[in-house]
Amino acid sequence: MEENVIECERVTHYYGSRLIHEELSFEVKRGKILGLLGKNGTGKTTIINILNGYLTPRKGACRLFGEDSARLSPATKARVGLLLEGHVQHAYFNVDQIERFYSSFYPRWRSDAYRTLLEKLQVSRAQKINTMSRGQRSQVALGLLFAQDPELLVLDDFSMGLDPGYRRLFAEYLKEYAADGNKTIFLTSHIIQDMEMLIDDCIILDYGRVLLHRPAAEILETFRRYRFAGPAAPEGPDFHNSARVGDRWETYSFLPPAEVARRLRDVNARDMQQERLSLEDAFIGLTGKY
Amino acid sequence: MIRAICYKEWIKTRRAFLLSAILLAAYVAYALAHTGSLFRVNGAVAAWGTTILKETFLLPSALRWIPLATALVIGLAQFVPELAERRLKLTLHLPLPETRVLSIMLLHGLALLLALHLATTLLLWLVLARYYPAEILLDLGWRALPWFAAALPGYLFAAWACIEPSWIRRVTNALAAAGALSACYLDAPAGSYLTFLPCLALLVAAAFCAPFQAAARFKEGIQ
Repeated sequence: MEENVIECERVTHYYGSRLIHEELSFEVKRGKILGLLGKNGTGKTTIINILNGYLTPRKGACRLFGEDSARLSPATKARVGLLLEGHVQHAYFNVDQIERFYSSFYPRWRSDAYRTLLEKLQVSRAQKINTMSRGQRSQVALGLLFAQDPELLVLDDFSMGLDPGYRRLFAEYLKEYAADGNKTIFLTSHIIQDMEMLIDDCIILDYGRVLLHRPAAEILETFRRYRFAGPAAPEGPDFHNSARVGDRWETYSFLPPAEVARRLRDVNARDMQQERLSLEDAFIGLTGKY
Repeated sequence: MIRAICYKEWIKTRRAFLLSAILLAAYVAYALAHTGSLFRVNGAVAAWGTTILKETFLLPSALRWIPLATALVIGLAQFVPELAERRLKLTLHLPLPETRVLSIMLLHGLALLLALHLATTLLLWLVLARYYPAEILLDLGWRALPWFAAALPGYLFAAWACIEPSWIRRVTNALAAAGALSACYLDAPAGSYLTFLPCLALLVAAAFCAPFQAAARFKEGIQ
């Protein structure tokens, strides 16, 4: 049986009276890369904080490697690599000092992984992290995570503030890291196109609930946009974010195209066109533009 | 791992430590010049007489606040970077028990303060021993003791206020700390603080626990 590395069970959380998550449950199996998508304010960072024990939910609990995330043992923490939003690190260190610091805590420290990544940067080993660009800092943070060699990586908005080159570099390294099959990655990002090349499974959050939890490939394969002319759009839970665009309608659906065509005929629609979607388009189709 | 945490704390605090050392060294130099001029201008008899009969404090009065100032400088240098961008999350994610991590951090700061203040006390003693007898210096020590002692809870309270995640609680913590520390700054004759020593020990113990309470609130995600 595949081991669940992450389990969240019926997590409910509020900030003041504002509901963030209600009865949120999901699990991530060993070796999977799961992307958590959602608009701003849907609680992505809240989940990351709960997972790492930096927030106690009102109800429910999350477990990492079977341990309550609010009380992780040192041994379990050693198995989890954590990237904070904004690639935050101990920026008062320089490149060498921070490696010297972290390497004391992790017996499997892979200095070569850190040094190989940093060789790509135009920085000296004595350069302080707080004098680096956001992109350079992201590579330092990534190098430290790889050197730690954790079984689970938890990455909060890994692409935040990075230019396309650094984003691509980051995603490629993550992909390579995960390729060994025994590593699990849980990540969030605002840049969904970066996720598309990376993730196996996808959770899309709406305000207070999970909108969707499916394999990314299944979403890309089955979720489509339909454009058509006619007096009205079909209604019901199988159609998402139907809207009039110019003199035509557009809607999104997981239904097979033949079934969509049949339903559209019922509302006197004509001239139906279907489109395959990128993950970003699928995200917009499910959550709406606003 | 303990060495690694001390290394991190040293990288953060080394400039504050140096600054504090310079401040204390400058005070010792000033105290030397002040005492020297007192003896040159008034003569030894008048200087001793004033000290003994009028119980005048024989050093420049800045000594009241300098130990506490160094404690705050070191405390802020150590804990503000942890709270900037919530880096404390990284520190508490280290594979060590969280109480041990925080204890090492606090003991590091206390060790720096003790080193600075013991060195200052020793220097002042050596300098002043040229002018005053041991009895007067002991009297001076009893008077200055609460000010140096206040530095320890002062440092711990600075850590408490920094780690506390809520701004309102941070302000109330700082006010409570100021109230508690004010007990060390009452005008009292030499030796009157002798009976206060057990209370001072309790204050230090309570102050040592306070950052752990703030860290627990930080972990709960209180904002």
